[in-house]
Amino acid sequence: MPIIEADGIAKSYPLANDPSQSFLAVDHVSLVIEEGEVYGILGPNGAGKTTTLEMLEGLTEIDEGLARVDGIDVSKHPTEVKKRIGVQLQSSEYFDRLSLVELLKLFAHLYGVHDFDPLALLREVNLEEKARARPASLSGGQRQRFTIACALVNQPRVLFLDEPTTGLDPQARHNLWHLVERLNAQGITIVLTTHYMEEAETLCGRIAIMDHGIIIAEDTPDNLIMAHAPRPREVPAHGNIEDVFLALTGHGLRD
Amino acid sequence: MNRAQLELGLVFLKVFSRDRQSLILGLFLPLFLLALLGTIYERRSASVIEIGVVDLADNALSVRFIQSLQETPGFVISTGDEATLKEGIKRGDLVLVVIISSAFSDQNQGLELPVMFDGGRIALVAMAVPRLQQALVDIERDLRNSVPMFTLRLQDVQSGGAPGYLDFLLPGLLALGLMQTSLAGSAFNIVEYRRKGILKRLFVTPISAMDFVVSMCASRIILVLAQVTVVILVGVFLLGAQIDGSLVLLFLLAILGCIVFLCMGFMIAGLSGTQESVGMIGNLAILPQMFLSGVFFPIEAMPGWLQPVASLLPLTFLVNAMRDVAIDAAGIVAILPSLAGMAAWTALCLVLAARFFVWREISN
Repeated sequence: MPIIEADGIAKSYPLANDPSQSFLAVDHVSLVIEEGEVYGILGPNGAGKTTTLEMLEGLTEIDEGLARVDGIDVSKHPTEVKKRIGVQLQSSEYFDRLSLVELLKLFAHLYGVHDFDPLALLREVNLEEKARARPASLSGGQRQRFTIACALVNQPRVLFLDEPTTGLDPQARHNLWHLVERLNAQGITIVLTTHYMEEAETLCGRIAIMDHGIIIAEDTPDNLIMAHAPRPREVPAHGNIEDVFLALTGHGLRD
Repeated sequence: MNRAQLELGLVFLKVFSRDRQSLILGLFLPLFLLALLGTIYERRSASVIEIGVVDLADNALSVRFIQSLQETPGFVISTGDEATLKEGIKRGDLVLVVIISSAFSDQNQGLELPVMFDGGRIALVAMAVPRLQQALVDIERDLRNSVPMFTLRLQDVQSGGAPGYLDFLLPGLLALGLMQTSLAGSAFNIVEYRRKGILKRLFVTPISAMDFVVSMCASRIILVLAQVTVVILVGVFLLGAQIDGSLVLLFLLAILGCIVFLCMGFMIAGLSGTQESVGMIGNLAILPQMFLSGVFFPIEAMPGWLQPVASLLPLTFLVNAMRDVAIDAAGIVAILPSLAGMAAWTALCLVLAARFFVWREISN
């Protein structure tokens, strides 16, 4: 049963240098995500990945189209949707001068969860010994694990991760992948965006490749490789998702 | 207030209480200014007049006269011989010297007491002379204790005392301090939370913008009440300032003032997109009010052309109302014009805040 359905959702923003003009960040995207999936959205910078996620999360207004999460219309009932999902933003800062435990308790209260064990959650993301630390003192990997812990306080049915491993070293990245796999094994549907092809290939059951606000390909990693990756001149047999990505979105730098 | 608002409000209080810089600015700065200016000016201001007394009579009546002078508010009395005290005038230590001639007794009819004074400080002399005379009349009426009504009225005059600079300064600094706490607290914090993405993170959860505003305002009001309490306690009990009016009304004014400046903070946060511009616009709002709102000296002492502008500033309305209550024991009716001014500013700021405020970072 689909837990997320988007039907032609679109979002445009006024141009920074000419506010009278607007640019279509997400161009009528449709997608269906089944419960229990790990679904990846890949794309270069500015492709519309984050905007798509934020529309599904009820953080950004949907200009056109319809999105449902767990059967609830996101535009009409964003608060109800927010209660059912966990969100890790691309960059998350927290109140200074609060410890991890205090922050987790705060987020739990904001979800109306008042009977809550922050230490158990910290244990789950392997941060128990940092309970009294402040987020600023955490390493990159610890920080990302903490932001995921924050997104879990309400026991969400869907977890949205926006570039969860950007900037992490390989060890921290693999550690986070294991966490995502563990959470998925508990039944949480995961929707993530990433720049890393290996990440998408390892974690995701299905991948959507976005560019210029539209989904240009969507399938399992294997099928995408079969369909799009150019035949390698030598070994390996099929190239990898990175080849797919570059074949579809070109080689030009986007930053 | 719901549970989420309460918890968020408590977090705001916790964050503030762990922020030393804000604590110092919000609490210790008003106290420091009060102690420093209050004591310096109290000594130098017109209400403190150094008087020398040469007691040639040295009898019960002259002792009583000196004692009465010592009890006169604003008088600092030193005794000694004529030559020494005359030197005191020349050195500028004394404003005037009263000589109690040896004939000073309760049998006198129209005895004149010579007064030497510093002609360069004629204003102080002019202030002191009526009080000297009052002290003499005081003793005279006391001796002829036949009309009790007089005695009652005279005691009333004595115990009241003229408000000193400290009494003037206390309500002004209360208002200034609470403006800083409310305005900086809302404007600077919101822009910082917005820039860092803390606001966005909060709105991932099912709380509403109203929850955030309620928590923020409630926590600021509690902070302001704590701040006002501490400044009043220190001002009254440690420094000896006097508050004649209703404390309840004073605290009510503190809450209303906090609301005015919270709204102004939301407006400033709305008008300024970045951390740099909030600093600039914030200071543009705070600095002129600091010096033009009659916190440190009366608006009437300013150049005439500036007075109409100064008298319309939000902090001026609050300072005036708090001062009317603290010094003149004004009731709510007497401060209605000031309250109306505060209400007008609140409305203006709310309209502008609603028009320009955005929750999200503008440029990404």
